[in-house]
Amino acid sequence: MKVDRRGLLRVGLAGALVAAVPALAPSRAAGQPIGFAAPVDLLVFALQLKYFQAEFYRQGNEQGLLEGLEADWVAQIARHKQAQVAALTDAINRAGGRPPVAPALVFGEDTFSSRQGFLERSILVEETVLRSYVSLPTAVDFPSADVYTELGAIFSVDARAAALLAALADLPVADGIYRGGFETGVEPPRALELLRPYVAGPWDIADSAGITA
Amino acid sequence: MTAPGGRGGVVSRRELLAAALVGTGGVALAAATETPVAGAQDEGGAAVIDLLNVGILLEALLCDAYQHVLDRDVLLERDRELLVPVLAHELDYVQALSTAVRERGGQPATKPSFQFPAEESADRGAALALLSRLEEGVVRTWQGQLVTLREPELVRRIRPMLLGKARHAAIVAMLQEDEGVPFPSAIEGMGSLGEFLDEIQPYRVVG
Repeated sequence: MKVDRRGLLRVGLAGALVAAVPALAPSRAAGQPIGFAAPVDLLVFALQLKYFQAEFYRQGNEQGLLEGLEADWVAQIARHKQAQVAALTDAINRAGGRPPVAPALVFGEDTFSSRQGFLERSILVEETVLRSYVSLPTAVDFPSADVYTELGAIFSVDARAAALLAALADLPVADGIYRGGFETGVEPPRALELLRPYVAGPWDIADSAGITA
Repeated sequence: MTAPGGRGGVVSRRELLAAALVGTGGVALAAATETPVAGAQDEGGAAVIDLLNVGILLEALLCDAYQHVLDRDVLLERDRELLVPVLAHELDYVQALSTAVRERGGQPATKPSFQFPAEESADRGAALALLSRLEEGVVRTWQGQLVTLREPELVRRIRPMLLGKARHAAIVAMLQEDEGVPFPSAIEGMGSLGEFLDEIQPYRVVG
């Protein structure tokens, strides 16, 4: 199914993502390894990551560790994660898929004990999510490149956040704020493995991928 | 370069504009300013090459813009620390896109030149505003054009670059402090190539 540019602008992201999913393929069955058998699986995976980010910033911003403009910027990041969760959830529903349940997350006392700790942990979260997007397979049931393009429009905002947070945390310019101009990837299972320690209880996609804390 | 399999037909003002900007005579590229280029199989290869050549144009614009601003004595030391690497990245993007065109049997667009009025970089605020406007425009234009792609391998190769560009856009906006908008939207906007070409046309050095 083709989606033209004007159509995308008109219907918005959620509609575009749904339109880009060529078949209402069922989501991965419980226990089946992570494999992205259908485009909707990519949306489910992305939603898992967005759940994580949204909850991370919700908890972090509640601590009041940031001030002024940087507090405004991080609050904006948090609002955007929530909007991305909503867009992906809507897209999965409209595609006939089943959005996963948001996991319970516990980040530990040290995560939000200081401004620097919050910023550094937020960079870890952003970089992990960002790099997993880079490694998403691109050979799932094409022609559905629209899914990848639209996911790119979401994860591009993560790249913005990663750079800004790194600058606020005073990380090195090279290999901190920037990553050499071209992002590198981390395989999705590895990304889930990095995030898994913060998930309290079951985590649908990670657990079925055989990842343990 | 006329891309193999390029579209024929009536050449509109916008098509002429695009062709002149890129200097390749790629009519399929020019058509992309009005309509998505992907679709017909026999035009797909040419459309991809033309999209890559559009990318060369966009990144060349940013190369010249960053060089222009860095050559002016208006930036703070921290600005320079953060923007000098961006210029290097932009040059890398031109190189990478040119390589991708060659790999597909095409001819990379000759890197065009751009100049910017002194008043648009008269002080730090103006210079950063210029960079931010152009960087955001390029990011939106890339996003808009990628919708047309149907080539998974190219999507895979381009996305690391686009994420790098998003970092640049956020950092330039951050340097503007209260005047900057590091996160324009929750989902990156998709811009019109035609409109952006019109916007940057005054900067193009002809000849």
